[in-house]
Amino acid sequence: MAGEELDMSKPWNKDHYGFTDAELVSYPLVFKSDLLKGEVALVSGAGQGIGKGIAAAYARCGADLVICGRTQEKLDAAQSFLEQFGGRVMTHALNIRDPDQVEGLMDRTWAEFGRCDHLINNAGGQFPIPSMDIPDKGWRAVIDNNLNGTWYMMQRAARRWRDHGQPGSIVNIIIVLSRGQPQVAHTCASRAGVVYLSKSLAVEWAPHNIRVNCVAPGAVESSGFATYPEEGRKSFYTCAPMQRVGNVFDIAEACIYYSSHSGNFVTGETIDISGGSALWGEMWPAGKPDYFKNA
Amino acid sequence: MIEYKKHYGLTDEELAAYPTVFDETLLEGQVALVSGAATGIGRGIATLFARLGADLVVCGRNEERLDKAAEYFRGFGRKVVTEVMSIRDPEAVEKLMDKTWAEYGRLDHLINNAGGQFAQDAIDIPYKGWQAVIDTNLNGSWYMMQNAAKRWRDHKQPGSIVTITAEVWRGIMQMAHTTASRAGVIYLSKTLAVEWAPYNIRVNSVAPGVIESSGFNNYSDAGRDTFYESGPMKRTGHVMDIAEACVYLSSHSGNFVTGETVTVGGGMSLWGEIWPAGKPDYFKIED
Repeated sequence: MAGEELDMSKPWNKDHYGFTDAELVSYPLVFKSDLLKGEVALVSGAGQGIGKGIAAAYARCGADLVICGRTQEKLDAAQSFLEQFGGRVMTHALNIRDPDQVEGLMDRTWAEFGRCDHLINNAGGQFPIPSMDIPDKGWRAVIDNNLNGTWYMMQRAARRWRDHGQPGSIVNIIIVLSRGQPQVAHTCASRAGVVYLSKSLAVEWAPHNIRVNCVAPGAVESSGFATYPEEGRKSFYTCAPMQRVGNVFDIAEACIYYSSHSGNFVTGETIDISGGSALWGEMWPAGKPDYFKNA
Repeated sequence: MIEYKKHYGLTDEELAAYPTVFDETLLEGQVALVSGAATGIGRGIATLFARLGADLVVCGRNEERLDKAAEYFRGFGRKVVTEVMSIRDPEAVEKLMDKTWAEYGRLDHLINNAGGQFAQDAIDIPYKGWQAVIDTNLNGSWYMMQNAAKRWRDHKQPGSIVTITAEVWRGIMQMAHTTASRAGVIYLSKTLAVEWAPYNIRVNSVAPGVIESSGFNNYSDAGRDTFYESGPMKRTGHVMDIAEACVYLSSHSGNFVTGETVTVGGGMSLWGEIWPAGKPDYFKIED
């Protein structure tokens, strides 16, 4: 936390969390390198963290990209990194909470590429805080971003797929939530909403050849780790039976499995990428309360 | 009387040519054991693992069918070891695993595909039929898991298990025995995912919905007819949809995935219905 001196000998304190750009380039992928050639993937929140990893994996499989996020500078930096894989990269700064801005993004995507094969709704966020203390504004911001923003993206993409007679695939990045998630109740509520929204849409939009699935990361190390207090971050490294963190390509590969033709018969589904965290272990993003420290 | 009127599922030529998303050298130097590999979904899974470079151990009950399947798999340039056995027999499973390690010194991917069921109203399932389905699908899968895991532990090798189950989330009418056994496997897998994490053993399952394969021959026309409109996609899946899910979970893409079930059923648990023995009048609602 601000002002605190971190003991850098601890494994949960690092100068850099998650893959470096060099690792995003070289880490092995299971897929054919031309799997997504000629296809377009739209990744939200692609300027950093898991979103940047997803965008890199799609680009390495040959896809052209539309990347969006709130900060143009971050998108510009991501663009110049992602262009090395040979595909086109279009950036679009926006806030997904604003449906008009989402309309603008989708209009531009179809104007530039005439298609969008894969929508990866990665943008979203949360801040660790005991539920008792969540302020109204903070609650609404998280719901508005993770649930409403994701919905605007899905509906606006789906309308265009319907109108153009094109098939489409949506993958929403959520969190592991089957046992709830203490100290991020707002995000847990919003993400659970996305899971059951996705199931509903999987049926309604099946006639349009639109598939809707979710990927639920557990403790997946990325730049986002730096935003948690040390006590919270510490719990991430031992919170599952595997007692280690995952990497952004664990998430990216799940997205590609779902959205490429390997997932042709899969819709309405959610997969946990978490080393089994729903089954054993615990994560306390704001630090473990004394009450839960059993002898 | 069931009519054997056509070929269900992909032909051998289609299995060999069906596009895969994976890198062609992904599984080179690795060994996959696929049970029930001679026919149907198992044949598709073994084919994909072989196409991606894996050597195979295949087992099944019928020697002639297994030998023929092994010849087909060898066509992809891989070593194939066969073992005629029933997974219901724990000693036969021991022997299978001993042979696997004797031949290869390792096993990377255990795909528990062997299993089966027959369509019947629950109220009429005979005692022996119930016993047989539980013994094969649940007990047999368990013997395979435990015997592989013991060897992985003793050789300090990591391992991955994928068991083929079924889309059980709303129950499966007229297949109560298989639903019970598959649900047992899914929660067994979750339990083992935790217990065996210290040994670097991952345990997952793939739950097929209606996948067209040679197994369709075992159903009556009235039952089979319900398969083709069973989910929101209003079509059946291909065995390669299952095979690709198995590779996704078993290969390094699944490194951080354990205790999970990937349902490959075209959304069948969300809308639609199958009645493998034919839809009872009671459930026929006019639109």
